[in-house]
Amino acid sequence: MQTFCEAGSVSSTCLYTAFAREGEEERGVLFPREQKRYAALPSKKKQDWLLGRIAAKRATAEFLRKNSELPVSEGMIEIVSDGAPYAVLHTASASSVVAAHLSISHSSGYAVAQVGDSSSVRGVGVDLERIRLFSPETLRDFLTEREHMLYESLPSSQQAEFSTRLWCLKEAYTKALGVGLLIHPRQVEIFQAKKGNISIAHNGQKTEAHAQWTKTPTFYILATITL
Amino acid sequence: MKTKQEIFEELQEFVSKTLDLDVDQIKMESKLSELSTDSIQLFELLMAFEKTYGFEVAYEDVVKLRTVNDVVEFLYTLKQ
Repeated sequence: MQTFCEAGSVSSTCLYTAFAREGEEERGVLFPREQKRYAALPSKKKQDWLLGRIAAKRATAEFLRKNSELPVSEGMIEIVSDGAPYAVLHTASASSVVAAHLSISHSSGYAVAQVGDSSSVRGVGVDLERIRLFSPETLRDFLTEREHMLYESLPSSQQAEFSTRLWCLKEAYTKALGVGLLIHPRQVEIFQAKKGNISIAHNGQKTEAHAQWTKTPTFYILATITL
Repeated sequence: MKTKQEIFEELQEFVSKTLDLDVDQIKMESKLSELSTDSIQLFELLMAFEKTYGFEVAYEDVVKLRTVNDVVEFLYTLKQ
């Protein structure tokens, strides 16, 4: 996986991942409805939201260039995010919903988005978070009993990264299902937080998912899940 | 019995403290997900709602609330 610190995009056969970082804010990429929404955001939230939109448009454009005849460069991509996000390509002649899974995440000056070809994958989820020390209360709220015991057994120097990674994997999984926080994070248990296939129990039912995660030099965790 | 406006004003205070935002940036139409910095902060806000308003409020109900207005309506109905 390309480190998200580098702007740009990376593609596999069916996944298109793009990044955006602080300094790349360009409001001109926003569709009028998005501009209105941007204007209504609290000032502290504008930058990350915009970077998320930029990353999502980059990933969608790459997907469309590889998978469709649509005139991407002549149109404008809108990201709609009431619930699970999706993209719409507006051209002079028509507006078309992009038939692909889309997931977006942003955190403190960085953003990432992934598009998955819906003919090849059932869902994609990304989550990006700065490595942090959670409050004991929040840890109890999102870790299962087993995960909490594992957390407690680690040296304190490893706990922040471990818990952030579990959060990211849980969040990426629920996004891949298209529901995000509608599923309580404690209903999702991560069994093997290793790169590659991981085992997840959702409401006690075990399932396999393709997962990747990386720790960046800037102390973020980026996790992706493909179903 | 509190009016919707009173509930809204209380909620503005609560959200501004929890998310470290100015009160006037929290509007009826604001989306909770867009007031939060990231998904962790949104989750912490949802958990704070659940804890503040007690056992009457289940996570499954709270998590469906998307805007400040949704929360105001929900709390108003709860108090009826």
